[in-house]
Amino acid sequence: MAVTLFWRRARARLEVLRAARPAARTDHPGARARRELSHVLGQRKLFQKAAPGVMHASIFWGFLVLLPTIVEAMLAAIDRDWTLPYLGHVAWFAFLQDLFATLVVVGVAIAFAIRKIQRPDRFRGSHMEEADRILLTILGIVTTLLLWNASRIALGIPVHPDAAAVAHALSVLFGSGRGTDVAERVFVWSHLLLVLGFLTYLPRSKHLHIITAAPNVYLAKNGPRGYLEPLRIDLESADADVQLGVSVATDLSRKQVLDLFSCTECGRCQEVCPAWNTGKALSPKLLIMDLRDQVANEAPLITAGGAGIVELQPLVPNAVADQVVWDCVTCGACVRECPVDIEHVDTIIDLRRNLVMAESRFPREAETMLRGVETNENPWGQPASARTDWTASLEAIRVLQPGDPPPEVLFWVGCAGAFDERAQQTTKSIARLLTAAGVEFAILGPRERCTGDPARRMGHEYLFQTLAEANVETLNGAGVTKIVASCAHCFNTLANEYPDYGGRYEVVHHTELLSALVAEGRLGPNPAGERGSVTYHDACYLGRHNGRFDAPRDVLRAAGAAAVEMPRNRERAFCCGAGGARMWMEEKEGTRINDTRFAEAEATGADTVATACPYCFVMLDDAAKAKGSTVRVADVATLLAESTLAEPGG
Amino acid sequence: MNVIACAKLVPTGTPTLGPDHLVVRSGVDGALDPGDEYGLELALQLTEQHGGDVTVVSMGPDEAGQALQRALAMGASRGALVSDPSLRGADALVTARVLAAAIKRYPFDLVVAGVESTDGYTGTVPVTVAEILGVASVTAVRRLEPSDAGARIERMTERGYDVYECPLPAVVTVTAGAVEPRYPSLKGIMQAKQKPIDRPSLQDLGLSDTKATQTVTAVKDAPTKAGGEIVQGDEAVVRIADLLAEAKVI
Repeated sequence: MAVTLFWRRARARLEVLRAARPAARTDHPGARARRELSHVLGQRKLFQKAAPGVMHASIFWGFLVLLPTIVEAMLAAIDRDWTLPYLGHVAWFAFLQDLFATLVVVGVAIAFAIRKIQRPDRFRGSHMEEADRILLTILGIVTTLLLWNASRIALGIPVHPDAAAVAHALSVLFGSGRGTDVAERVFVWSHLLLVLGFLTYLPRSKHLHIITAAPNVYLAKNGPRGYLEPLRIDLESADADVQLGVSVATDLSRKQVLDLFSCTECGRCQEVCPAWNTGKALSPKLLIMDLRDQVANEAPLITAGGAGIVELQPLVPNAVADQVVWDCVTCGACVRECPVDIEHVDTIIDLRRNLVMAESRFPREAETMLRGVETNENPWGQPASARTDWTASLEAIRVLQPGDPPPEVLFWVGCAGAFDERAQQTTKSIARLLTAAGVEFAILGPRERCTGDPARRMGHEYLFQTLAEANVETLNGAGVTKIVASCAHCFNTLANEYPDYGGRYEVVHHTELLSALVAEGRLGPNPAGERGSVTYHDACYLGRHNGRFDAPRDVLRAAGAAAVEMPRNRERAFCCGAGGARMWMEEKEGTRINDTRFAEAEATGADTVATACPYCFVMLDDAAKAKGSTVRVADVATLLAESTLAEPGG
Repeated sequence: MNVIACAKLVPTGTPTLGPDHLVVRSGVDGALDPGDEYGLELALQLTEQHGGDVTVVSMGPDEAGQALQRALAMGASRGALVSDPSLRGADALVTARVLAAAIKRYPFDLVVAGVESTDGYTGTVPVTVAEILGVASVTAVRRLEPSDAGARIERMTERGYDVYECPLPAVVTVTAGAVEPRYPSLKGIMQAKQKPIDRPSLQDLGLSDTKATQTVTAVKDAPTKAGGEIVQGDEAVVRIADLLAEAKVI
């Protein structure tokens, strides 16, 4: 009966999944299987936190080991002398059963200690009472198991009573008389009833993750997390019904729905979210919970199809407010932290796609950026001819003309690097260093366009697509094979996203190229130079999204900087606040993300904050100026130029 | 309320003049004149609130169809484009004649336009259109609501605004900032492709003489100003404050 009830409730969830958009997430099965081993079996992401990691691993591994015990208890419930073939007779299984049941008790104790004594803020907004119920049920299941085994030992049933040390110790509670016979029946039945009751409770609870987490991890994105899946839009042949991102529940992909049913509300994402940490409305955890609740509420409509679908309410603003969707900086800290590989950012982008492309509903101030990109092909709205203005003070920089032979390396300057006065310093430093190292490079000049990153992260996939296609045509037409990009966002888009549009190049970030030039001896920085102490701020789209952590640090070390790290660094770096097109939106709620990050950098006592992306540079430099700080903000390339070149310029 | 909105395609960059002293339009990226978007937005808001629809009328080369597409994407119902090689170099009077003739083909209660185009800047076409159509006109409008007399209109002045009661139909020009032009959604852009664009010929409009009454015969550059100072760097704010104090502005 319990199994039927479980199946009926689980099938309701499965049908919601089946009604969702298919997700093509089965390529590279080897990589997916390896992730399954490390994230699920190995609990790697859970161990990102020590005590909660031990807590969860104890319960999870206990759960795996104790699965056969359910069958064993069922057999024994029918006839006291029935047991599992083989496993019921060997000492090592009795030992493991006893050990892991005890570990689960320890795990539950740690969980309660965390929840009741430590009370971390990440649980704010989570269902605490539901968690208590779940933990108590687990405790009940293993306690009845231990006591059942203890009573059996007292009755002399098991062949290897010494193998189960804890149950053996507990067996002193029981005599060998009639009372123990009854106790043995009571424990085995209560153990089974708890297990079966739990089973029926599962599909409607957050504990469903014990079923959904493994497939969710398997279906997670392979490769760099900065990559977004394209949404192809063909205006010529498109009918008006083409689905533009996610509006209602049935627009979600199967992976996105599975994400919702995999969340256990642990709040690790919330704890690291730059928006939540600076007092914004967005919490990645609450976003997932709110979406899940609406999808669950609408499940009958979804599975009814047809007329039901018509009645579905838009997820924004019904489940989540508009502002929540716009608060995201797409830094990916939440995705990186999530033990079950929920992809919050991709869902947020899909919600944005619908708001922008179907509804034209977004923070008005971002319109300047979209119009600039649309009309002048850069967010600043500057004329294309101004892209080479920064070259005026330098010796001849080769601008690649149509028909010219391709350069060894194309220097992708980026809009910030070309138009922003402060970012131009970095651009000039890179150009001077490449010249000094004898690298044969050229720029596209007026033929370079915005890569489309801000439009794409804003949700304007079509605008991104037109820019990507135009840029790929230019790059392929020029025969470009290798690109060095100075903007982390350009780097991510060129390297990870342009292949979808036919642009395949070897793309390196300027810190990587400079690091290699130093290593080859083509650049000779003076390590004895007085650089003072420097703290390096990881750009999200270079670091966490693309795993480039060492090159910028190597360059700084070569330049003679005494490196100090901020508390949140590398994979766990805190965003500057500019990603996800936030650069172009006002930050009205709470404190400013860039001020928060700059304060963290300043607290290291470093003389300089080094950046490797013009967005980070501008954001942190703004924060420094606002605070009147004496700490300098400069790009890694500028610091290297000062250590290497006689006239580093500026 | 049926509204006609005037729309013009203007070069996106700084307009350049050809040897014939006319704005170079071929091979130049163009867009719907940002000034026209205010009139169009007001028209869309009026029809959304009071019913009726918006027709966009333009005169220009074939590329002016882009400006119409943008207006249709924003929500106008149909477009009309008058395009004829003989209209190249048309002056403000000829333009007004053509637009008025095109507008007359549709029923209308109101004609809206920008205050002036951002490439030619004569600012005379809308009022000339009103004259030809024989209807009232109000320039520099910041607000318009239907009233018993026709429309209650607020017109920007140096000190504030005047309030007019104006009979309809009328021609009004809408100031920048009066309304916030909407950013068309992709849905809107896709739907725009299905909307009709009429292309009446000059014959359809009953126009034969479209020769410009005025021609530009010479263009002289203004003398470059001397003695400017570019203030840059961290001390810029202090320096500018000093300069303003020196000039006794502050």
